[in-house]
This record gives sequence, structure tokens and C-alpha cells, in this order.
Amino acid sequence: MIALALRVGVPVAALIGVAFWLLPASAAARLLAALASLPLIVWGLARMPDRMKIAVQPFFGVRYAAPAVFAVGLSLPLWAGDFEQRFFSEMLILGLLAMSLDVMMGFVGLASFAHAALAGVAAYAAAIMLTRFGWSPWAAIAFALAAGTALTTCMGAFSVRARDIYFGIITLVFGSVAFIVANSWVSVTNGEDGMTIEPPALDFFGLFAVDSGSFAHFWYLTFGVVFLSYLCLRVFLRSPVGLVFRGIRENERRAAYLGYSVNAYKIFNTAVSGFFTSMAGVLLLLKNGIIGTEQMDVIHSGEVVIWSVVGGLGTLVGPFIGANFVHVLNDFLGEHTERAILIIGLFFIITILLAPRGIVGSIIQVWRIRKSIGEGR
Amino acid sequence: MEQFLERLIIESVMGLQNGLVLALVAAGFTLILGVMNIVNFAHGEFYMAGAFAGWLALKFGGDAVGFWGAAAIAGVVVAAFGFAVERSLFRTTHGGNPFIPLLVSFGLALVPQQAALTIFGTIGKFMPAPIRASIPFFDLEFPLYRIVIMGVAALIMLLLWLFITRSKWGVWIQATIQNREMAACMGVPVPRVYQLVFSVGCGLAAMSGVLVAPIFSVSYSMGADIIVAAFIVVVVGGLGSLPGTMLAALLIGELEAIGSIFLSGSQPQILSLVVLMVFLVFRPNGLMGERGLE
Repeated sequence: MIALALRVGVPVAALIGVAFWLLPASAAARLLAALASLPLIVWGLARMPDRMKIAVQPFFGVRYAAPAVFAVGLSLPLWAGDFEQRFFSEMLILGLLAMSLDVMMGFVGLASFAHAALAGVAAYAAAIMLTRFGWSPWAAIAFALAAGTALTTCMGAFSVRARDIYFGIITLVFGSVAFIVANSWVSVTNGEDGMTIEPPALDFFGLFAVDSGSFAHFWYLTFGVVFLSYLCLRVFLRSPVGLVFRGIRENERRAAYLGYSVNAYKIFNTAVSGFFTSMAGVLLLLKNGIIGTEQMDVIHSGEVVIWSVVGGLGTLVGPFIGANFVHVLNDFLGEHTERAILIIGLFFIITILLAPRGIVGSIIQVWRIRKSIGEGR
Repeated sequence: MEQFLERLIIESVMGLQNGLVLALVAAGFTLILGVMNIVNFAHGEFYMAGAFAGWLALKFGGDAVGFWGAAAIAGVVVAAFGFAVERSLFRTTHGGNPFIPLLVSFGLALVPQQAALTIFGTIGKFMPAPIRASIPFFDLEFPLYRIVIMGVAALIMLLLWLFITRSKWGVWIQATIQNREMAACMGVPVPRVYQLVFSVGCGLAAMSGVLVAPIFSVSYSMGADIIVAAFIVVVVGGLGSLPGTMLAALLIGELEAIGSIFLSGSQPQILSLVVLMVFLVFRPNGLMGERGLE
């Protein structure tokens, strides 16, 4: 009975809240509606099924990580300058891109060498709709997410016909063709010049507006989107569907024998990955105000793979950390040498050979071994 | 109309030549993939390294070495480099997760490219053709060298095919492609076969790099330019099959050449992608793949 009340009550409460935001009411009425629906939502959260609890549990085995991340994230514009805010925004976006790759690579074992190109396609889709067709920002973003997801799904649908290691080859071909199209379809994409947009103001149901030209606004937007994306992916990958993904990764044939339609799961997985990749692409466009073809080339797509592997595939938070780590390393090396990517390539080879689980994967492994030794005593 | 026909014939001859060179690069790639189960992303970089090795050999050796000597030196040097790479990087990854060699080769692909960019700069190096003569071909003078390339590439492919089908090592290679464990049980020295295949594959790529050096200039990006076409050829041709690779390479070469009549720049690659997708849907084993992709 309580469970039924929860399943109906929480969405209804949330809907009431959203409906009041949408209605042409005064700001005070909206705030009141939001506050009224809050206790219901909190009560729902407290009693929700275990599966959903994973989302709000302290993540990555560290009890106070979630509150700490929140505290840092919310207070950042208070103590960080413009440059730092832009820098950290970029970090979050690159982390999101790496996490979206991890969905495919770490959880199903599909290596994609096209993720920067796919993010670029989404960014181009948004930029084209904003500048050439004069669409509203929300419509353009929705179109970009749909286009990026559709293209990734299409890539997945063709590539799953080949065995796992061929998958990488085919994604690379897809990525390089997307690059060629962006480069040579000059009348739509401006070719090598790239496309510039005016940072649009995103209006959230009239309640508040985010001016993506402002550093603090953009930081909050990125923080919210990336944090929510992380929670969604975390829940998704620990759901029964996510467990099937891991089953396919571990033993594809056995998953097929158990009756799972392996290819359908793989295509679904690429679609999810594509959605979050497109999100990262759109955020990058909003942040930079420009999208150029050089962001789509094979080296950039490869860098996404490097981030994820260095961070630790299949850990979700690992690729996020890996992206930031390698990006900072790249910046640091870039100050001293022109060929940072050369050193990163060598570093990558050494990482794979010596610690194929990556940074976070290795930490988890060591932690587990210590724990098991402790239990054995 | 007549002009168009002329253009068509010229482009298809060019396509034949590109296809034959592509076949050489892809043959090594498909052998490495078939035997060692490694998608060698760095294969294009061996092609690039070969072109630079040949250019250096010709620059410092001069007439004493000659063009063909430079090609041979490049082949041997890069084959030795490939041998060293196999021994140092891929040795430890055999039989494990197939993901790891894939990623290692991907990391490896970045290194020679950036190293060449650092050492030789962005401007392409000119390599003189050994044969300057040309033959009249419709309205234009068609360089004889391109015809010679076709002959040389076809000859190397023939020798490779004879080696694979007629020699003891070739039979071992075939056995390893079919079933690695069983081959090892029957006494085939599988690790040695790996070394041989990797070195030969790299050497072939290097020699084709030198062959095309007088046509294109020798630049750091030439490996990245050919690798996508080589990928498509391998998937279309079928895993580990030399005749399939040859056919697919000619198909892709012709397609991109004839496509370049109607399209500009690198757009003909889009046509190759379409061919790849058609093959993935209707014939995922490729033209002559013995073992399925799936």
C-alpha cells in the first residue's frame, strides 16, 4: 500500500511542482508550489526502492563525497575567478564526454573511436539550427540531442554486426566520415572556419534564466547537467538493464544463450551513450560559442578513449577523473612542449601495459585486496 | 561525352594504381589481424615511417643507394622496427583481453606521427621518381612511373601469396589464422609466426610508403590518410584473406577514383563508407572471409 502510494505520490507531487512553474502564475506562487511539493519528494526519496536509492547514496565508496561535491560545486563562483570558472566548466564537460564513452566501452566492451566526432555532430546540429534557421535555444538543443543520439544509434546498429574488435574500426570510419562531411559541406557548416553562435539565454520555464554568456550562470548549468547525468548513468548502469550490459561484456555467448538479445542491448547502449555524448557536445558549443571541425578529428576522438582508459573503464567516475587528469597533464605539457600528445601517447601505452584498470580501477582493486586480507585474518 | 570518357579511363587507371598500393598496406594489416587478433591502428604509421626511411636513405645514400635500394632499406628497417615493437609491446598481451593490444596499437599510432611532425615539420618532403619518362595517354602525358608502381605492387602481392600458400612458414601462418590453439598443439611455433607476420606486415607497409612517395609528398600525416581506407578494405575483403583484400582494395581504389570525378577533396571516402555499410548488412564476412566476423 505504501509502495503504491509512493509510486503514485512522488510523480504527482513532482508534476504539481512542474505544472505550477509552467503556469503563468506569479513568482511567489511558483515558489510556494515548489516548497509545497518538496516535503512529498523528500518523503518519497526516503522510502523509495533500493534500486533508486543507489543514486543518492554516497558514491564511489566515500561517504561524504556527494555533500562535498555539492558544497564545492555550489560555492565555486564565490571563490573562483572567471578563468577558473571556465576551466572547471570545461573539465566537467570533458568528464561527461568520457563518462558517456565509458557507458559503451567500460560496461559492454564496445570501443568507440568516434566520440569527439559524435559530440561535434551534436554541436554542429545545434549551431546550424540556431544560426541558419533561427530556432529558439531549447528547440535547437532538443534537435541536437536527437540528431546526435540518432547518429550514434545508427553507427551502433551497423557496427554491432561485426565482432567486438572490428567495432572500433567501424566507429573510426564513421568518425572520420563525419569529420569529412563537416569539413566539405561548406554551405551548411562553414567548412574549416567553423560556426560561431551568440551565447543564448536559456529560460527555465520562466522561473529563472541561464545566460550562457555569464561564467557563473554557465558553471551552474554545467554543474547541474553533469551531476544529474552522472546520477542518471549511475542508476541506469546498476539497474537490471545495466547488469545485462555487464553480462554481455563478461561473456557475450552466455548472455545470448540465456535469451538476451545481445545486439538489441548493444544498440540500446550506444543510444544512451550517444545521448550523453550529444549533451557534452552541446555544452561545449555553449561554452566556447564556436564549433570547428578540428574538434572532430580522429586524434580528439582518440583522446576521449585515452581519458577513459587512464581513468579506469567500467567505473564511471574513473573516466571523469581520467579526463581531468589527462587534460591537466596535456595543458601542463603544452606549456613546455609543442607535442604534448606524443608524451601522452607514451604515457597511455605504459598505463595500459602496467595498469590496464586505470587510476580508479587500480585503487578499487587495491582496496578490495586489502579488505579481503583484513577479512581473512 | 568524349571528354568524360577520357576522364573516366584516366581516373580508373589511377584507381587501379591506388588500389594496388592500398592492397599492399591492407595485406599486412589483415594478416596481423587474422593471425594475432590485433587491430593495428599504428599500421598507417609504419607506412609513413617507411616513406621517411626511404627518403632519408635516398638523401644520404644518393645514387649509390638509388630509389629501389632505398625502398628495400626502408622495408628492412621498418620490418626490424616492427619486430622490436612486437617483442616489446605486444608480446605480453597475447592471449589476454583483445582490448589491450587494440588500445596499445592506438597509443602507438600517436607516437611516430607526432615524432615525425617534430623532426621533419609540417611541410611534405619531395622524393624524386626513379623513372621520369611518360607515355602519351589521350591529351596528357601519363607518368610511366605510375604504371611501374602497379607492376611492382602486383609482383609483391604475387610473391606474398606464393609465400603464404607454398612455403612452410606460409602454411603455419594459415594454420594460425584458422585455429591458434590447435596450431600450437601441432607444433607450429606460434610466437615466431607472430613475429614474422608483424615484421612482414610492417615491411610491406613501409615499401608501399616508399612506392607512393614520389606521387604524394612524404609527410607526417600520410599514415592517417591511408589507414581509414585500409580498414574498409580489410572489413570488405574478409579477415585474413589475401585474394579478398586484393579485390576489395581494387574495388575501393576504383570507387574513390571514379567518385573523385563527381566529388571533391576527400568526399569520395563517403562512398567507401556506404560500401562498408552495405557489406556489413548483407555480407558481414566480407568478400572472401573464411572465418566470420561475428
